Order: sequence, then C-alpha cells, then structure tokens
Amino acid sequence: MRILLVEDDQTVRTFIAKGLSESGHLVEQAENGKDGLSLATNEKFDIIILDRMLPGGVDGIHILETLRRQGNVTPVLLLSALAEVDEKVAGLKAGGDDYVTKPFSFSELQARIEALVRRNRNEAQPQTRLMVGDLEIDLLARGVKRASQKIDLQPREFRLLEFLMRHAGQVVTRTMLLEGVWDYHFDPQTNVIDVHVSRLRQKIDKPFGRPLVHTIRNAGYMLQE
Amino acid sequence: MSAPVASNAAGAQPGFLRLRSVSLRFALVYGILFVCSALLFLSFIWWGTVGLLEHRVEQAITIDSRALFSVWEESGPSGLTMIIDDRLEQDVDDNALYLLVNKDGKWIAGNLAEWPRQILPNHHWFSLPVQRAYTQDIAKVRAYALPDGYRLLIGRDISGRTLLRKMLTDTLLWAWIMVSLLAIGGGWLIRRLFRHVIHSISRTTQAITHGDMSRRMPVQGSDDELDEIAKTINEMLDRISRLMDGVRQVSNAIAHDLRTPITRARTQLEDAALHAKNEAELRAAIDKAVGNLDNVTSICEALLRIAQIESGARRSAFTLFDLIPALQDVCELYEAVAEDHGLIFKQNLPTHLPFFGDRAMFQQAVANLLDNAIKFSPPNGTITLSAEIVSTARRSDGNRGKLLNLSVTDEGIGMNEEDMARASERFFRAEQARNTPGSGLGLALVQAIVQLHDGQLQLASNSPGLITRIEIPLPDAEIVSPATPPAEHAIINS
Amino acid sequence: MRIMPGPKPIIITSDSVAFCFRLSRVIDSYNKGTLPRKIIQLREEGTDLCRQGLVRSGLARLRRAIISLKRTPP
Repeated sequence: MRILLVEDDQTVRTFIAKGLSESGHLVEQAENGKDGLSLATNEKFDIIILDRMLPGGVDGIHILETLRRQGNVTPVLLLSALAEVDEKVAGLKAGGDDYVTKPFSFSELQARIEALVRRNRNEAQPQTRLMVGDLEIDLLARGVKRASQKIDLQPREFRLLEFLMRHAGQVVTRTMLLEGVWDYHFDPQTNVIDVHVSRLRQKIDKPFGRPLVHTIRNAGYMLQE
Repeated sequence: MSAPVASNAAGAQPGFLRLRSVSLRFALVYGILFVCSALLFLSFIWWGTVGLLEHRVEQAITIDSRALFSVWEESGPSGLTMIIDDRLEQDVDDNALYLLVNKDGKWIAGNLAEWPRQILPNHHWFSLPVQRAYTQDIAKVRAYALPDGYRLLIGRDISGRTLLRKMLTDTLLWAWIMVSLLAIGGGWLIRRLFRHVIHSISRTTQAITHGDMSRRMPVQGSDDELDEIAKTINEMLDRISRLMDGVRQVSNAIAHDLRTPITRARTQLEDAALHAKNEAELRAAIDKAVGNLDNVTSICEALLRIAQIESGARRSAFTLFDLIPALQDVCELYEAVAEDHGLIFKQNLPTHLPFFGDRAMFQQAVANLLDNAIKFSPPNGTITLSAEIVSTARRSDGNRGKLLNLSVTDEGIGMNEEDMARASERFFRAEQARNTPGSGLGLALVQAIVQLHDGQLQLASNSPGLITRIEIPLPDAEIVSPATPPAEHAIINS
Repeated sequence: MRIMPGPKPIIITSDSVAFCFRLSRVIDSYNKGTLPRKIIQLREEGTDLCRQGLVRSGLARLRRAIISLKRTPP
C-alpha cells in the first residue's frame, strides 16, 4: 500500500513511517504543506495521512480542500492536536475521512488506516452477506450462523459483530467500536467495550471451541479465522 | 504648586459642579426638561384663558360695529344716535363705550365726553384710559370713519378683564417659578441618587479591582432596577469568583494530578534504563510508562472538555429530542457491564420525555453517573436509573414549568457530607475512592454538562450508597415521536 | 394693540347722575298704564342709589328695569 505522510514533527513522522514500513507499506514523507500538496496532486496514493497544522502557510485543511476540489478521492486521515468536537467536525466537513487526535497509539492509527483503505475498496460492491471461516451473517435478514447453526443475537450484538466482520483481519480499537457501533464520541472510564465483546464471544465463540474474536494486546480486537 | 493629591482609581474628584459628571448632566437634562414642559403647559393655560377673553372682547366690538354700520346705511346719523342711546340704556354689563362725532369733531351721540385726539379711525385696536365714576379704567376701543366725515368709536371697558388677566398671569408666573424650584430640587435629588448608585457601584468594583473578591453590591431588597443591577453585578462577580476558584483549583490539581502519572512514567523509564536486565523487562516498563502517559492525555482531554462546556459555546448545538431512547442507548451500553459486575440494574423511565439540550453531552453525563455507580458498588448491589417529570416545579426564571428529575441510585460505599459538597470539584476524590481507577473528573464533567443545561446536580445519601440527582428545566413544547417503542418499566437483570 | 399714554383720560358721560335721570325718564315714558311692581321697585332703588352717589350701582338697577320693560309686551 502506498501511503503519503505529511507531518512536520520529525519524531512523530519517523515513528509513523517506521511503523508503517514495518507492516509492509510504502511510505512517502513530506515535512511541509507545499511538498505534501505537490506529492498528493502528482502521484497516486492509497491513503494520505495529513497533519492539520503545518508550517509554511499551507496547512492540512488547505491541502485537503485543494485535493477534493480537484476531484481527488484518495482517503485522507487527519492528525491533530485539536481534540474538540467542533475541530473534528470541521476536518470531516473539509473532506477528511477520519480524524485521529494526538497523542495516539500506533495501533490505533494503523487500525484506522486499514479500516479506511478497506472501506474505500468495499464501497464499490455493497454486500448483503459476510463470511469469516464458518461464521456467516446475513445483513438483510439479520441472521447469524456458525457451522450452519443459528445463533440469536441482540440488535446491538449484531451490529458489533457486523462491524468486526466488515473489518475482518484488521485490528479494531475500542474507540473505533464505540464510535462505529454505539456512535459515542467520548471515553467511558470502565471497559464497557470489553464487556460487550466478551458477551459476544460467549455466543459466537464459546460453543464452537475455535475462537474467531482475538484480543490484540494494547490495541483492541480482531476477527480472524 | 499644590501638594500632590492622592490618586483615586476612579478619578472621582469631589468637584461639586463638574460638567463632565454624568450625574450633573442627568440632573440638568431633568431640570431643563421639567422647566420647559412647565413653561409650555402654563403658556397653553394662559392663552386658553386670558387670550380667549381678549379675543371675545374684540369679537363683540367687531359684531357690534357691523350692526351699527347697517343702521347707518339705513337711517344715517339720526338712526345711529337712537341705536347708540338704546344700547347705552340697556347696557347691563356697564362696560359699553360709544362715541359718534361729525366732521368737526362735535359730539353727536355716545357716552364719551370728547373724541380722544390720539385715536385715528384706522381700524386699529387701541387701549384708552377712561375716567369712570370713581375709578380710572382701561378700555379697548376701535374707531371707524363713516361717510361725510362722521367718525364712530366703539369700545368696551376691560378693566374687569384686565384684573382677571393680571391675576391669572401672576398665578401662572408664580406657578412657573415654583415648578422651576421643584425642577432644580428634583434635579439635585436625581443627581444625588444617581451619584449614590454610581458611587456604590464604583466603590464595590474598585474594591474588587484591588483584589477584594468577597465584596458585593448592597441589595436593598426593594426589587427595583437598582437592585436588579446590583444583583446582576453580584451574579457576575459570583461567576467570576467561581471561575477564578476553578482556575486556581485546576492549576493546583494539574500541579498535583498530572505530576503523579508523569512522575511514575519517568521513574519507570529511568528505572528500566538503569536496571532492566533483559528486553522483556524493558518492554514491560515502557508499556507501563505509556499507560501512565495515556492517563495524562485523558486527563488533559477531560479538562479541556469541561472548560469547553463551561464556556457555554456548546449551547448552540441544543436540539429538541426525546430523552428516553437516548437514555436507553446508554443503559444498553452499561447493562452488560452491570451484569458483568454481578449488579442489578433497574430502570424507571417514562414512555416519552421531551428534552431540549445536547444529546451526546447528556448521554455522557448519564454514562459517567452509571460508571461511578458501577465502580463503587459491591456485588449484588442494585443500581437504579429513574427519570420523571416534576410538573409544578418553580424554575429559575420564576415561571412555573416542568422539571426533569433524573437520578442514579447505588448501594455502594457512598460519601460523607463533607465529600458530597466537594464531589463535583475537579480532581476531587473521596478517601475511600483513592484506590479505584479514575481521574476525579467524572462528576466535574457531569456538573459542567448539567450547568450547561441550566440544571442542578445534587448528591444525597442512600444509606448505604449514594443518590445522584440531576434536575433540569424542560421545554414547554411537547414532542411526540411515535417511532420510538414504549420503554419497558423496571427491567431487572440479575 | 396700541396703548395711548394720554395724560387726560376721557370722561365717560354715562357715569353720571344726569344719565340716571335720563334712564328714569325713559322708564317713565313707557308708563302706559301701570308699571309692574318689580320695575317700580328697581327704578326707586336705582334713583336712590344715584342720589346717594353710588351712580354705577344705581345705573345697573335702572338698566335692568328697562330691559324687563322691553321684554314685557306693552
């Protein structure tokens, strides 16, 4: 995957670039808005990671708006130290696809990058049926089967499973689940997500021996065969 | 040069008649307005009485002259003489004056001895002094030239009216003088009143600028505009005090509560750098340090969020919505957690509850309360979330309206009175809670959100446990959302 | 309105005892038969007052008597 990283802070830039390269991605780096904009307009990337505040007059929002005006639909993930809800809204309004607040953990960033790229690929064909191993869900009938055995899920459990299935093979962080499944944009103090995931596991994993939902240490969860 | 005068912050020199003083200007404007309106009013009365009397006299003479002219045209001097004699004989008012003379100025008819030399028959009005039986009076007369050199003089003795006029004029003049005196007195009074108010405000504000934040404007209790200003200023001062306290509290708290995780992280890293024997130990130390730094971040975020809510900027995002589905969403999130902790979670919710506010914020507030309740509850305890509409509550704006009464009750460790009073302060954590995870910002955030909605957060003892109650005024409009399913009452998870 | 500062006020000739008698005569000239009591009384009072020097009060009564006479048909 070809990734453009526009970030002025060298420590953060090197850290992200190193992490992404290790996961097998090709990372192009730019340390200011001007270089970032010319790279973004002249070359093709799978995703652009953009710092919101950049030195040299051309900031992240400006690059984003220019790209969107040119009809460039490359997914853009905004990085920012501005955590306020309004700032997030402004970033998403300008055409951003996701917003990660500094400081962040690398696993959170990586999970979101993968989710974005995946979403971008999947958007082409709408699916009605998702399958991972012997687990199968029908999005229209809202039915769940594992090893041809019907499983009853609460509506919210179904949405949780659907989210995990759509991101199968990817790390999904707790924040992503909270935002994606419950549409909450705040940080509950106790691990509510863990409780809900563990309940889901009781239903889809426990009776079948072989677990599909895996806990990824310091990151989140992953649904995988 | 005179000795230097001690500087006065407000620049309120005792200069008695400074034109730049607002109070003097007010007094002057008041006085001038008063005097002018009195002048206008009294002039109107003067014209309405004295002017009218004079006009009547002139009118009477003019009508009389027309009648006499027609007699002259019909029957000449002899007829006129007869008419004049008749008029004089029947003049009950005893004020008519007539004189008819021929071209030589010789007396023909009338009750005047001779033609006054000064008076010309030119239709002008004249004031003529006349000698009556025992008085000297003033008469209003007009002279007319008749054919063949005859001249006619018609008049009225107006001394009675002159007396009335003089009396009226005097009265009105005196009235005006009195009014002017009143105006000056009133102006002075207004000035004093105004200065009193301004000085009281400026004294208080001066004291505050000099750092005495405990000073407040005196409220007379008369509920007038001055009290209103005083109350408004006092409210403003209260708010400033609270904000200042908040800032002080937060800076102290930051000094303490942020330092703790930072110190831990630093120690862990340094310790690992010095003493770690293998990679595994090193990684473990780094992971712990990262955890502590994440804690710092979440504290910062929570603080910023509280500050943002307290600034009131989020109020623009308020909408009208049904609170019940929003509450059920939160309950759904926490039901599982409660169950996981072996707790009973009861909900007492009405079917619909129209609410005006920020949905996401309010959900977070309720989530924080549930979070606390779960955190501090022993196994098998019961947590209850109830919401009801109290319909005859008196709201802060004085109107009777509806009030949302939402409470979260637990059977946990509870709090003592002292702690309850301080519970919503930032970073406050009761002694018993020191060992549970948390930043001490949860209730502070709830408090901020409740205040944003013009509501109140109260803590009460449940013995055992704690009742957290939120009271928020509701909008008057009812919203009906038929799409939402009716809430189940008292769902029990065991 | 012009005020004439005449040093000598014009004498009003009707304010005189002579005029009283003239009015009294006018009343008498109406005497076609008997005068009403009220008018006789007014005339008597009027002439008496005139004789005592209270000319204007006397005149007022005499004039009232004349007006009453004019109103009563002869």
